[in-house]
Amino acid sequence: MKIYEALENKSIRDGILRTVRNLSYQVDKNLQKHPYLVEYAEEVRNAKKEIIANFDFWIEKAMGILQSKGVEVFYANDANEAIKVVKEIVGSKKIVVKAKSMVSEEIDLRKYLERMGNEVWETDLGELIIQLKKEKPMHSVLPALHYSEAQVAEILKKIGINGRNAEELAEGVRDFMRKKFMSANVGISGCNAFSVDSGRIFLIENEGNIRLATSLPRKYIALVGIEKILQNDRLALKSVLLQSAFFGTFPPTYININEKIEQQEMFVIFLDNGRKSTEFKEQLLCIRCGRCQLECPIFQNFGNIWGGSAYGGPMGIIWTAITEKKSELCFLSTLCGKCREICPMKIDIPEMIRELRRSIIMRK
Amino acid sequence: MIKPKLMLKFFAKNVAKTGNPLGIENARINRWWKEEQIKRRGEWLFFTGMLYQLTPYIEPLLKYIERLENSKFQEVLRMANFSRSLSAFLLSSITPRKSLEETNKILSNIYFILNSSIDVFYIPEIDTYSGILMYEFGDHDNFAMHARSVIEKLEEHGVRRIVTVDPHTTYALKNVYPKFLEVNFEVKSYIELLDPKKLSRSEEYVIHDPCYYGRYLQLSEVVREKLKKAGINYEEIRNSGKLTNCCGGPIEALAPKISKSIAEIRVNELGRSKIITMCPICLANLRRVKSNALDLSEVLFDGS
Repeated sequence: MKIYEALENKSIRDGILRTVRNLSYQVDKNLQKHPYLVEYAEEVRNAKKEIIANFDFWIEKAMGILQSKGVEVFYANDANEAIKVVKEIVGSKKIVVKAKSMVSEEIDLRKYLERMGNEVWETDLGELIIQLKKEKPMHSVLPALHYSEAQVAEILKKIGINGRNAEELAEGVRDFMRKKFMSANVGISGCNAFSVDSGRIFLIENEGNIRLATSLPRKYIALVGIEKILQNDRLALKSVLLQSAFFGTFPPTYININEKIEQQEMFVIFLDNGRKSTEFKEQLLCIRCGRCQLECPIFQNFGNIWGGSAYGGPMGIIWTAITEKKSELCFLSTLCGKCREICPMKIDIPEMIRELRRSIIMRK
Repeated sequence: MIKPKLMLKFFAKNVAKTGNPLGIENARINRWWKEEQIKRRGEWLFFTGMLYQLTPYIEPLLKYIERLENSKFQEVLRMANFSRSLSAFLLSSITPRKSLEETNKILSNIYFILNSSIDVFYIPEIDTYSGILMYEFGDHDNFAMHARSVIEKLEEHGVRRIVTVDPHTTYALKNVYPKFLEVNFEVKSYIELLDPKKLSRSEEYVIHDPCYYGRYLQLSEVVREKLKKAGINYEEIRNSGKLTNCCGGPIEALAPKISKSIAEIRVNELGRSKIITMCPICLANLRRVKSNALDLSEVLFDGS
C-alpha cells in the first residue's frame, strides 16, 4: 500500500484514532497511579546508554553466559546471516509457531521459512490476521488495528474459523492454534529485553500465545536485537514494565522469562543489522512501546505505511534508516515534537529526522 | 508528496532572490504599517518575519500544489520560469482581499498593544523571513547563508532587542540562529511582553497551542496567564500545552492533502468552541477545514 492509498483508506485513520483515545488515557492513568515508572525510565535509559557505548563488551558477555548454560548462540551481522542461521536450525517440512516479533518482520523471516517448505503460523491474533491478508503490521503492538470485527470474521474464514462475534472468533482461533502448538517442531520469538546476568529472555504479551509458542516445541529460537541487551534481570524487568505502561496496558497480562530448560534445545541469535554502526545511536534507546506512533499526526493517517518494510511512525522512520534505508518519507514529518515529548526514553526523534533529511538533500 | 528536493529548491531559490520562500518582493506584501504611525527608533524592534504577510498567498499556492501532489507532472517545479510565473500568479487577483486586510489588522493590533506596554519600533526595510523552512528541510547551508544576511541587517541598525509575532520566527531567531552564528540580540515573543486590558467576553474558547510555543519554546503557560488577565474563558483539553497536537501546517507545501487531513483530526479534537491560535500557519491550516479559528490578537484586542 502506498501512502496516498492509505490516506483514502479511512479505516486506518479511524482505527488508530479510536485506539489512541483509549490508550493515551490509560498511559496518563498508569503514570499517575505508578509515579515510580518515571524513575524506572530514567534508570533504563542510563543503563541502555552504557550498553550502547560498549556494545562489544556486553555482547560478548551475553554470548558467554548463554553458552555456559548450553544455549547455542549466534551473532548475525545482517538480515541474511540471521536468516541463514534460522534456516539451518529449522530445516524444511516443519511446523513453526511464531510469537509476534518486529525483529522477525525486519528480516522478513516468515517468507523465507515458508519458501523452504515449512508451515509457519503467527500465533498472535492480530499478527495472524496480517499473515492471512499478506500485509505488514499496521502498528508494532496492534498489527491489525485497522480491521473491524466483521472484516476479521471474513479474513478468518480462510482458515476455516467461523464465528458470530469477537468471543466466538477468539475461541475458534484458540482451538486452531492449540493444535498447532501441540504439533509444532520449532517456536520462534523476538525479545523485549535480555538480561546479561542471567541469560534470560523477557517477553510481555496479553494473549498467552508467546508462553505456549516458546515452551511447547522441542526447539526454541529467540531473535534478539542487540539493543535489547540490559545488564541484569532487574533492569530487564523494568524495561518490559515500561514498555507496557507507556503503550497503555499495565501491568501486562503475561510476563515470560525464558531460559534454557533441559527438555528443550534453545538457540539465541543476536542481530546487528545496522545497529552498531548507525549514526542514529539515540534510537537504540527505544523500548518499542509504540506510543510515539499512536500520538503522531502523520502516523494517525497512515499507520506503518508511513515507514519502511517493517517499522513505521516516528521511531520507525529512524529504525528504517538504521536497518534498511534512508527514506524520503521522513520529509512528511511535521517536526511537531510530540514523539519526543511523550517518549519514555526522551529520544529526540525530530532532531534525528532533520539530520536524516539533511543527509538526503546532501546526496547528489 | 511533492519531491522534497524540488520543493526545497523552489523555496531556497526564492529566498535567495527575494528574501522569502514564495518569491514575492517583501515590499509588495508588507503593507500593514503604511497607514499607521510607527516609530523608527526605540528599545524593542518589532520583527514579523513575514509569515503573517505570506499566509494569504499560501492558500492559492496549495490549491495549485494539490493537483501536483501525487502526480508525475511535478517536475514542472524544476523550471526556472515556472517558479517566476508561479510567484506572479500568487500575486495576482485571486488572493482574497479579506485575508490581506485581516493580516494587516493582526499585525497593527499587535504593534499597538505592545506600544502601550513597551517602547517598540519598526523598520520595514530590515523585516524579513527567518529562513526556518530551510532549517526544517535540513538545508543548513542555505539556512545559514540567509540567517547571516538577516543578522547583518540587524547589526547595521544596532538592534539589541527583538519582539517577534509568530512561533516559527521566534524559534528561528531565539534558538536556531545562535547554533549557527554569533548573535548579540535578545528575542522575545510579543505574548511575553504584552499587557492585556480586561475585556468582557462571554464566549468560551479553546486554545490551539502551536507546536513551537507548546513544546519547543514552552510559552503555553504565558498564553494562559495573559488570557486570564484579559478575562477570557477557555476550556483545557488533554492535548494542549506540551501535549498539543499539530495542525498539519508544516507539511502543507509538500503534501496539502495530508496536511488537511491532520487539520481535520485536530479540529475535531478541539470541539465546538472558538479556537484561539497564535501562529499564521496554524490559523490558515485550521481554517482550511472550515473551523472557527481566530488569531490570539483578534481575541485580545479586537474592538479595543
